[in-house]
Amino acid sequence: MFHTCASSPAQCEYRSDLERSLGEAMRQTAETDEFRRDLVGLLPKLRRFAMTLTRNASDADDLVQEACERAITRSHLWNGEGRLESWIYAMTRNLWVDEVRKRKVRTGSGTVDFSEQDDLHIEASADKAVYAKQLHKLIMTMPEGLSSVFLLVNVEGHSYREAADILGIPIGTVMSRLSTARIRLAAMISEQTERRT
Amino acid sequence: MESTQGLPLEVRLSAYLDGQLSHSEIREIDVMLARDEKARTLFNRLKLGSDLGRKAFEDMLHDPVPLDLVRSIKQASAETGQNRMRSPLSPPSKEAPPKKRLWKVAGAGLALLAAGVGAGYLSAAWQNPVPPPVHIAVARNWLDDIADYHRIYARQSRHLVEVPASESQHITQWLTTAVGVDFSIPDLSAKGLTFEGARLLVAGSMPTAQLIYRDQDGDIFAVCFQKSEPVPEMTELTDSIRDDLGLVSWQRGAGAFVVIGPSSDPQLESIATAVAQTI
Repeated sequence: MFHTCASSPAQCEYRSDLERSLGEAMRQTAETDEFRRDLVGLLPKLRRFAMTLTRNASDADDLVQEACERAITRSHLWNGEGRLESWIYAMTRNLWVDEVRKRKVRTGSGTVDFSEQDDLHIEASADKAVYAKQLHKLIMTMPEGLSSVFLLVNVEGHSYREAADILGIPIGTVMSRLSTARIRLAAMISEQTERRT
Repeated sequence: MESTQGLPLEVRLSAYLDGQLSHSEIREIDVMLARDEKARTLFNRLKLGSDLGRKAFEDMLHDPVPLDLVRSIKQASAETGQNRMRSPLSPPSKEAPPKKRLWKVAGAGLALLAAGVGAGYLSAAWQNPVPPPVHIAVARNWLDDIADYHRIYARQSRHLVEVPASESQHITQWLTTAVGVDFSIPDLSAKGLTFEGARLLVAGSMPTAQLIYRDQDGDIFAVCFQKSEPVPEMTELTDSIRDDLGLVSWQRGAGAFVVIGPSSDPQLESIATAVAQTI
């Protein structure tokens, strides 16, 4: 089919460019909407991952918001291969590393290395609801280095390589942190069982 | 597959638990666990820690997602991505300043608030009184009515529905006649929703059917529809938010449809998709 234009060739060309641009803009808008829907569906998982980094809900939500906004502006870079959450997890982790660095500069404080942290113990008298809360608290007080690795590998089934890439650490560190996290968790539950008996 | 030769026993057993070892190392660990009581005890401890932690993390997925966070991604983020979506023919706009993080904005906001209150107090002392504000009625559509109804009925524990789910056949006949839209009651059990029953409403001055569902946490969702101007093909699903409620609406044939539920629920979109395919 021939496209005819009653106006000058320059006007024709301009209109054709305009149509192409509008079509492209509409396509991109639809893609961004779909991407945004995917992000909303991932929110519970993104918040959970962010909590392992920040260990408080308020900072976690700020972090997730910023990571999602960044992901949307860069959604054209997402190639659709692998898991979308892995891509955003890495982005989230990078943002948090930047934030911790800035906080260290501002206040002289930052995260505490897991080897320097005290263990949290579950109260022996806890009933089921309180126990669940304490379990949640326990996870939140686990050092960032341990809980993030544990979540990615043990809960979400990422391979060691994927976890290492997301967290920017060597595979050997993933392995050692994972075993430390498991032993710590087991120690806490064993201690609680002994207190109850 | 990773090699754990030479690493501490707990690291090797942990990797064995994850199935991340080569066949030869798996065989080696199998033999070790069969023979070595100490290794078995350590392995059981690692397994116990795994199970406990997994349970705690799975529980975290049930925490409600804050409404503000969902909104910021559904709506405000479109502006963030504006530069990328700009038409190449449109004039280059100035780069929008990067959005500051909330923890920074909070501090700046408090400072501005304090300054604003002070300045307002001083200026009000000698300026002429401000004329009273003019209230302009905002145009409402049927979705506003649906949201209002939902807010009221979702709180009714004993009188949630007009006709219970046990009378499904009657519901279909009754609402098809009253509303003028053919439908079948969507089975949303795969989405964790149980059909509770139905109501007949008036929304945007039109008779409107409301099919009510409850999820496992007790949250109420509704599928509402009414007669509309015919459209040649099904329209796109459109998101909108009314305070704490999320709505996903579309049109098909001579019917307008909407799914309504808590806007913090990330499943709303997929529920609407399921409804659009089955209703």
